[in-house]
Amino acid sequence: MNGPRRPITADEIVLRRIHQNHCARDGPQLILPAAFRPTGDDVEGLSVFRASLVLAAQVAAAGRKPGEYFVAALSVGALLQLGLTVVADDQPGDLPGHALIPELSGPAYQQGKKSLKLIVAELARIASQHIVHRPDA
Amino acid sequence: MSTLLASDARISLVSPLTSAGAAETAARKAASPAGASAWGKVFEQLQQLHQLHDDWDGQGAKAPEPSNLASALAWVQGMRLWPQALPPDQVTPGVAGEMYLVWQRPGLLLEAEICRSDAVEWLLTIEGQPPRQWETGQDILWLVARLADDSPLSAAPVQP
Repeated sequence: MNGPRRPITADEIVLRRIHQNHCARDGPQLILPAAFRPTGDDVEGLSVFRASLVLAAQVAAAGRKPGEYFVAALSVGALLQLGLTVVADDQPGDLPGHALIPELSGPAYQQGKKSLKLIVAELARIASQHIVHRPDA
Repeated sequence: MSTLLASDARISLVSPLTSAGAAETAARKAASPAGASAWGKVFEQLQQLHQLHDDWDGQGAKAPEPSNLASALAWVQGMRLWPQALPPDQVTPGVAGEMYLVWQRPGLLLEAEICRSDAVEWLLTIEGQPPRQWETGQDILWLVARLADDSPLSAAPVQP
C-alpha cells in the first residue's frame, strides 16, 4: 500500500477487469458471479480501478492475459448500497487509480461465503448492464 | 416424486424413483442429435478445464481441482442419461479450484458450485426476487429440467 487508504465517494465510478471465462457465452446475463469472487491474490480486497483516473482499455491491457478481458463499470454508490466500500490503493508500478473493495478480500469471502455469495451475484447482475470494454475491442 | 421448492420460484426439486429399465429408455432418448450436441459441448467445456493452470485468468485464480472436475464429470454423465435433463448452458471455472454449472433463461440464473466432494452449492437468482441458495448432497443425482413446456427450469434429483 502506498499511503493511507482513502475512501472513495459515492459519485465515482470504478472499473472491474473480468476474464472472459467468467462471461456467459449465450445467456442473457453476460457476467457470471464468479467474476467477483476474490482469488488468493486478493488478500486485502477485490481490485478495481477508478474510472476518473484510467481508461477501461488500459485496465484490460494491463492484465497478465491481455486480450482476454471484459471491463465493467460500477458506481460506488451502488456498491455502498450493497454494504461494500471502496478505498484508494495506489501501487507503485501499477496503473493509476487502483482501489480495493476490502469486504471482498479472499479471507473475508472464505469466512462469510454464504452471505457474500448473494452480494457477488448482485454485482454480476449490475456489471452485466455496464460493460465498457470487450476483448475484441 | 417430491417437490422441495415452491413453483413460484419457477424451479422445483423432484425426486422420481426409477428402475434400471426406465434408465435405459431414458438414455436412448437422450441420444437424440440435438441433445447429444448440447451435452457434447458440456463435456468439451469440462475437458477444457483440465487445460487450465494456476493463474489461468492472470488475476491469481487457482487451477480447477481434479477432484472437483471428477465430480462434475460424473454428475454430468449421470444427468445426460435423462431425457428431461437440461444440459447446463455453460461450465465455468472458479477462482479457488471450484467450478460452476450454469443455466440461464431470461431473468433467471441458476448456478451449481462444485467445490467439495460431498455437496453441491446452488445459487438461484430471479429478477425481482431475493437470490436463494441451498445445498444438495452428491449421493443423489440431481437434474435440472423443465417442469412443463411453459416453465423455464426445474431442478430435480433422481435416485436410481
